[in-house]
Amino acid sequence: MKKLTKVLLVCGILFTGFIQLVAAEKKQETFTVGMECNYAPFNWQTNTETESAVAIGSAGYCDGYDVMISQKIADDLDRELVIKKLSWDGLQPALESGEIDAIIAGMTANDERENGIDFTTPYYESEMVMIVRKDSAEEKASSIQDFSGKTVIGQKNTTYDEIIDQIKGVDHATPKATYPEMLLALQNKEVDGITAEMPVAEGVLETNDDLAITTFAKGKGFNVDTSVSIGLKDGTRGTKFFNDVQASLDKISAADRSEMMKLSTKLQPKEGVPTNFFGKVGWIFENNWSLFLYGIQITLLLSIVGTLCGLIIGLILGGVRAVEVDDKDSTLVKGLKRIAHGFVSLYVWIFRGTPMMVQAIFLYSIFRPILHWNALTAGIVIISINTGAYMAEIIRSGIQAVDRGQSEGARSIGMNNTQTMFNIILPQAIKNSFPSIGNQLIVNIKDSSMLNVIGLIELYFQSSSVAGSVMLFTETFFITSIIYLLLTSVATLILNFVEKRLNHVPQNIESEEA
Amino acid sequence: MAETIITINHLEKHFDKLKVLKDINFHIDKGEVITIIGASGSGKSTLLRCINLLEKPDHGEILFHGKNIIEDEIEVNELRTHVGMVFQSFNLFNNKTVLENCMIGQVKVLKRSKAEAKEKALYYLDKVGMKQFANAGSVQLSGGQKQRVAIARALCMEPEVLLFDEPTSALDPEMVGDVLKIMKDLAKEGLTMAIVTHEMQFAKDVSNRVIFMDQGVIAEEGTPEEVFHAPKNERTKAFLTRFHT
Repeated sequence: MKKLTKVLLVCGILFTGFIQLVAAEKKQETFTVGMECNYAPFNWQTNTETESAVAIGSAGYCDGYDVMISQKIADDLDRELVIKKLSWDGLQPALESGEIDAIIAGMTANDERENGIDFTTPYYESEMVMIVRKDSAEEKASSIQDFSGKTVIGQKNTTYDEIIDQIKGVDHATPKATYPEMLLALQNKEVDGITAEMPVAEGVLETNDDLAITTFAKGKGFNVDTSVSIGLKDGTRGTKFFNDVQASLDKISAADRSEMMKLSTKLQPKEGVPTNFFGKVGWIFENNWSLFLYGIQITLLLSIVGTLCGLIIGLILGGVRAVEVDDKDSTLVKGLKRIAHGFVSLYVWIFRGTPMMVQAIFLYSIFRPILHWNALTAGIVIISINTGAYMAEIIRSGIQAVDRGQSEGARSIGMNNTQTMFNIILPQAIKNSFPSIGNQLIVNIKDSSMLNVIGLIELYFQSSSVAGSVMLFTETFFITSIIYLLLTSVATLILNFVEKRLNHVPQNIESEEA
Repeated sequence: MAETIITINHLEKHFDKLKVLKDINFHIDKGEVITIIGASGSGKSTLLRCINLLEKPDHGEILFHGKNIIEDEIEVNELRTHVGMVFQSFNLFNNKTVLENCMIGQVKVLKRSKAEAKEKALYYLDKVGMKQFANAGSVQLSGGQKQRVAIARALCMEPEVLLFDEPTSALDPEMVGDVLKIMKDLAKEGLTMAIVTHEMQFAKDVSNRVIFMDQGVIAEEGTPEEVFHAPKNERTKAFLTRFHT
């Protein structure tokens, strides 16, 4: 038991250390800005390096209006700009924990947010419009009340969702997390309109020629603040840092802003977008392949390391479970064995009985203040722990499937329990369990996608970003499906090959000399 | 009188409420070949398995060179290096080759060098006629071949006593002869053996002493002539008639 904890602890520390070596740590004098990199033309992710783009690790570049503003402020502060890609809901917690210095993500200041964030004055102001299907009745609407009786959707946890209720008798659809998802709902006629800011709507139209923008007459539109502001840590208002940022922002003239937005809209990936489905698929892949490639790397890292570490955990736990309580043992040893058995049962019960997504959110946030781990380290640890619970059961049944005679044979020549376990039982248990162990790898390739909840940029999360920058949902996730299918197919082929080798029986069993 | 290796006094064993062995008393002397016969369920195998503690007796004592092994006077794993066992179902290690099966106990338990272990393994494999299969996987062999390797594996530990638990019961009839022949040779060389068997002719030919067990007790014990030709006990007679017809 003690040994087990020690081994686990050492493994954990080694791993954390290794990952932190690999992942570059924050240096002095940086200006770290959080944004989604998924909200064109304000911010999006791309593999094209432009004058304004800023690299986000090896996951490509982040580009857009927000990046340009961030760069200007960073220059004025004389600090190095670092862009941190985070989910919308993860922005405020990251600001609070000090992971980022500012939110520059097209966020509108409102009373609710003011509670936890200190906002600067607006750095962009636009118009609230509605994205609708081209040639539909809604296209000709001039008042928001024309959408009475229609289904309207807005982005989750934003004011653009709340304002839908200003339309009397509207069918307020359940909000979605990203624009590409909402666009799909619009194209599939599940909804009739999407609330959006003008620049976002214009960006959407670049790649979706079947959609149109409805603008509203003065006084007939939404009553909403469409200005977006920079969010700084709560309680910093009045500090030198806050004033410096505000001063820098004040230097950017209205003309400069409009110029930057124009440039952003122009930079958005859109040129030469084909019109048919597979044309779009090809175009997306051609322009974003390096983003997919990064996602694939992380997904493979997670699933392979997670499966191997999970196997080690499973072997330890399965082995502990297989240790029998002997009448001959002293009371202390008996007690320790029972505690160890109880621990293993508890472990399997908890980690097999709750979704990995929930485990990820829970463990990541609980241990973050103590371990200061990044998403990748946390992701690997979580997938390993989760896989370990399944592996423990796989190994246990593998051990049970080994014929009793095997251990009797070993005991009959004087081998002790440990020797019997490691030399005779476990090798056969692993061989018996190989198909199930391999299956866990396949499961992990797919289930690692759940780790996007802690902001880990793996294949699924990266795909959402691509979808967000090209504003094409179906086409992007078609590519993603193909990639996942390819990964699992290759993994299956390799596993089948290994399994065949394991079960290989030579034909000529007699030999001249041993 | 020859040196006594194992003495069993008042041995009892029960599984839950079922009494399998009741007050068993006997001894094994050096160089002796003892066969234990009797109907299925009479307790023969359990008795044998008690001797090397694969089953833990509930009562009585088993003395190995005078030391009571039930009372922890001798470490069980060390005891098993002196008291070998050959099983009905062979129990060769499926994940090992023939040679590895014969080496692992020597290397891991007796701490012999690999070279020495290999040399011994090949010597005993040769003795059972399985040397040319040294590199074969144990799962590839036929039943008779497996049992010959299992005997070699046990011999590699160079035990003082070798226990055989129905070594030919799981074999095809044509394989039985080979295995019995090896056992006969071992008997001739003076190896101390206790054999549970249904091969009456073999028991008659090789043993110094025959023990007939019935319902958990030793019903009759004597030389092969005494037990097979002049049984005193009615139950022995009844049992043997089934083999004569």
